[in-house]
Amino acid sequence: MNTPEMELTQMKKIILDKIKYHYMDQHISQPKIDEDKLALLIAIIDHSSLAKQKKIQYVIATMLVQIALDTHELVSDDSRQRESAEGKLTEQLNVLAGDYYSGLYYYLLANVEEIEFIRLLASAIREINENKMKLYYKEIQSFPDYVATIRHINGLLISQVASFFNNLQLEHLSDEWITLASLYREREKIVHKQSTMLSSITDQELDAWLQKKSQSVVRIIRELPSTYNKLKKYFLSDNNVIIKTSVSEEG
Amino acid sequence: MKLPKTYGYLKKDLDSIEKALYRSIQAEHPILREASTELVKAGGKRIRPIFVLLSSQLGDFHLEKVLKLAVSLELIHMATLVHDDVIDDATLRRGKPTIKHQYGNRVAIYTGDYLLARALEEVTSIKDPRLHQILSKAMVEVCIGEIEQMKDKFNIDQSIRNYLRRIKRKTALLIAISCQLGGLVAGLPKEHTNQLYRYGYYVGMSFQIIDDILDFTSTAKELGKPVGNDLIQGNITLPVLFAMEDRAFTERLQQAFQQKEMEKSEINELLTMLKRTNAIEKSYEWSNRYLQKALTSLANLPDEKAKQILKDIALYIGKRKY
Repeated sequence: MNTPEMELTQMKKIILDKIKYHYMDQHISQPKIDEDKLALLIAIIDHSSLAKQKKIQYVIATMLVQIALDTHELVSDDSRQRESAEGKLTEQLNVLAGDYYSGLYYYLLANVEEIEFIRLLASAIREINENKMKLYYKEIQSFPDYVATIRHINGLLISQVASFFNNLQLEHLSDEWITLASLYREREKIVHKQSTMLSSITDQELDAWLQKKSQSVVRIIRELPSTYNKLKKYFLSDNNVIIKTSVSEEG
Repeated sequence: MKLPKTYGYLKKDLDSIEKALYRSIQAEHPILREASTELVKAGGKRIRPIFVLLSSQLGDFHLEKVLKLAVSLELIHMATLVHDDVIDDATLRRGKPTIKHQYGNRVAIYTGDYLLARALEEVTSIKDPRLHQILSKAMVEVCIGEIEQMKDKFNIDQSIRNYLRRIKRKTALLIAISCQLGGLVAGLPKEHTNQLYRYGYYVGMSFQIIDDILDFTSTAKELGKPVGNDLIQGNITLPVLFAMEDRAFTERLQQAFQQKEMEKSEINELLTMLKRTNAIEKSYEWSNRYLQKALTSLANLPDEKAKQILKDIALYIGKRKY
């Protein structure tokens, strides 16, 4: 684990190699790995007292959970997806792939005898699915409620890992950054007139909220101690929408 | 699975497992809770919990550990079924509407993921790493089995060996490890847990072969799904492999598989043709051979009451009609 870029590239490759399965690779697209989550995870686990080999297993296992959850999000209620034989097969394999990746995370951690960490990840998956149900049934009362639900669905996994290692700084950062990044993606949906749950807030109110939050999250990153320089460098790059927004506001 | 009345002494522990199963699926979200409860209520044979229970009675029995393990294995099995119904686009299971049919694919996926997470939360209260290594390996194998089954769908160019490997992963493995892990949590020596694994493996193989036979010989009411459902889904099972020794059957099957969506009349025609061959009898012979091996596997295990029941279950499986 050298520079953050190197770590990310190496870890991404290791993870993608781990989930290679010829028949699935032929019919479903390669899972996308969320680099922000991976960068946070590497920093959290790198600062733990685990042995190096275990560190790698922890990163892979946690990302396998994330990939499993993301893959299952590709399964749709829309029956039109299944109209063509290939569409049907892709949908079916997405179900199986998600289950396969879940099995792999358990297998990996069982073999390094990390039973408590398996339990932690399982609890996070349970809670994430509870919140996905809430979002699916549109049981969102207000904008803060929406943010809290998104925080649980997208940020919980990584922040729970940070909490497991008593890393309060990165727990807070993971929570904030991942939620904010998710909200920016929702903002994009509004711009492109796609369906979104953000109906209880106007565009102006949302933009004001995003700007304020971006500044606050950038502050959290800047205040991180120098031991996190790699992570700071990764997040404070200019081409990130959160950084751009916070800078434009400051300017 | 209905056990004979003479085994009434198991009822108390089985009731405890049932209650623990209900307790384990009390989700916060009402629909998630409802969907999970419906699955538990739908019943099923509970063969995995029964095998955990009986195997653990051969050693140092600890109800708490047995409950955790039995519940976890049943939840894993249930999660697989919920996701299978999404894959097969199934509307009925055990004669009742599937979660997928009632609530849609997404909710079925979330329910399956929730059940799987609950299973791991439960079972990780047992700290023995050997248990987790065996269980996790089996879970990965089960998934690989499903993927391979998908790959083999509508492909008539398959061998019996291929079929046996598939049903091992699909059914026999979870039954085998239910027996093995039941023995493990009861502190049995490795030699005995290995014997229990073999017993469960052979029983599981026989169980699945009979399931595949019943798919052709039962009624839709007994099955809770259409007769010949495996063929409709493009799955080649043992009776079909034997029936394919008849050239006319193979040609008709090949024609039907080319369309992938079979008409009812085509299914009926294939069922009639299959029943004219000796495929069902031969499949029963294979099932019986596995059952004999299961009985032999028990020979060196302690002579407890539970061992006799394990024998009886193997014999019962050989005779079951649905």
